[in-house]
Amino acid sequence: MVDGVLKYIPNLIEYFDEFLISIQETLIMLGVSGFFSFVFGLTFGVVLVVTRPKGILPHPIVHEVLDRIVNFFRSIPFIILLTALIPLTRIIMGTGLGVKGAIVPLVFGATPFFVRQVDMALSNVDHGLIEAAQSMGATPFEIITRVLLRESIPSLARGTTITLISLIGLTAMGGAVGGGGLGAFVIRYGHNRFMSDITYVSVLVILILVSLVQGIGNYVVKKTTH
Amino acid sequence: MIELRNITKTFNLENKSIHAVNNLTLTIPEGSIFGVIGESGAGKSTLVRCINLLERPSNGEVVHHDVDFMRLKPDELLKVRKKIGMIFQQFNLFTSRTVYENVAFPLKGMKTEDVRKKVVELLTLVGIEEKINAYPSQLSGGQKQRVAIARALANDPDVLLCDEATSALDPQTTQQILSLLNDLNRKLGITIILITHEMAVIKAICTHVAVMDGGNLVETGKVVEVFSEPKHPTTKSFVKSTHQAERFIELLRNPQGTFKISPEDDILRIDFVGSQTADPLISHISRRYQVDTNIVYANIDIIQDVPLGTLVVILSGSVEGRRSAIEALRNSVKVEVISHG
Repeated sequence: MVDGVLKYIPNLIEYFDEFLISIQETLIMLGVSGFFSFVFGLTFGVVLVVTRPKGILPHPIVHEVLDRIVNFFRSIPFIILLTALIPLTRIIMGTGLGVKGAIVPLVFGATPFFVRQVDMALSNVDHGLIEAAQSMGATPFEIITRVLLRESIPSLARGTTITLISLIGLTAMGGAVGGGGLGAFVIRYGHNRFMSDITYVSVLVILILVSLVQGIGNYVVKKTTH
Repeated sequence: MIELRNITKTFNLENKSIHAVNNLTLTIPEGSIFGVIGESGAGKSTLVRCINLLERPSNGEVVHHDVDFMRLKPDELLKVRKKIGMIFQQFNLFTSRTVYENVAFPLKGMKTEDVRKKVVELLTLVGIEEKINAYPSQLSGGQKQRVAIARALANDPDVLLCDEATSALDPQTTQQILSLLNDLNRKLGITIILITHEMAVIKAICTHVAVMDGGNLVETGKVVEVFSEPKHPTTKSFVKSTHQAERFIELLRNPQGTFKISPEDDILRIDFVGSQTADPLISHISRRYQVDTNIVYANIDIIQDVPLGTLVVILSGSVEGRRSAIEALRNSVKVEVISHG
């Protein structure tokens, strides 16, 4: 039985060590860039929402500038971002190649997307709740942490799920310009050397990864929606 | 006592500015249940938000316990707000928090066991202690408003602002919430400021009323006084909305209507307040002046334990008798001659 299956994936078996390393690299890229995108996205998203003209800390200049930066980076196709950011990546990470080289563009690619998710989630918090908190003497910081963020946990979980899944796609694309991970692995063998079995199995792994993220996301949303 | 002095709130829209509240001065007595009534857009919601400065007035003073809120620093204002509870039409409970957590929200910084004790005490006070672990989505409108009231009372405020607090509730639940507010006012001595567009709400619990129209204060005073002698057209139309005397009189005047009035009869409208009782008076004048008095409409409102009555009577008899009877009536009650025979 096992032999029967193995017969169909000769190339994968041959490069199995590299396959495992690639999965690990994908997970590292996903974890590190996911973490930074989450932190930056949440911060900028909160700033964007509270500095709005009708927000709790209105500041037109900060809002306008941030809004334009986010739009600017969102409008650059990721493949261009990857190459355009190489000089910056070299300064930050010391290299423009491999897993390390992929993380900076990944953060730049995913953060603006997540900022919009946060923006949407926080904007949907009923203004009445903010007013109620204000009437109870809550400070702006308390309103952000105890009302805005707390009340939008389900939508933030949804946004995080979507962002992580598109980040998985982006990590694979990173392979095209000398990043690591499953994307690079597939291009190197599955595409350039016509080893289709490597392509199929890698896609399967990515599919499992996406399902896992979606599953966890759905669970969190379900548990936090009352 | 809360004093609003020359409060103006102007909203600047793109091409025009709107005076939501226009140079309004109002004194709210300590311990009163003060109703503010007006049509939608009259500026009453803006006015109530000017009291805790959720809307900062463009101009004016908000004085409570000799402190002008307009002069407070931001952190001082936050402290003051803890002593002014507020409830809303849409309840505004935190959906991600249980009833317990909602009421505990303003009690940040207290020890957990103290919070627990206070929350249970508050929920018992508003009669919803059994729902302590429920989420707002599991509660009915009336229950949500009870939780909101408990939350608003958490920091032992001496003022409670109610912004259309019963407008989203059915009539029966409205009565329950109003009587709860009345109880709280008596038990805790808390001043309640209540915004509404329904005269029935004012009638049910308010001691004082202010009538707003187009951002202006048009009439204010004790509810009984404003009710028994409305002066401004807006007030009159609100008072009219609560009983049908006016509609009835229109029906009387209609020649094609159900009532056949002899051309020799007088139609009178009699209004009386409190202890002036009309019945012996009417039988008295009937006997004394030899007139027949037919009561065709009668209505009594009880406002703040004072009965407020309206009668429509048809008077028939000799011209002399009728004139004397009307004069005699005028000595003790308010009489309006609707038509002379």
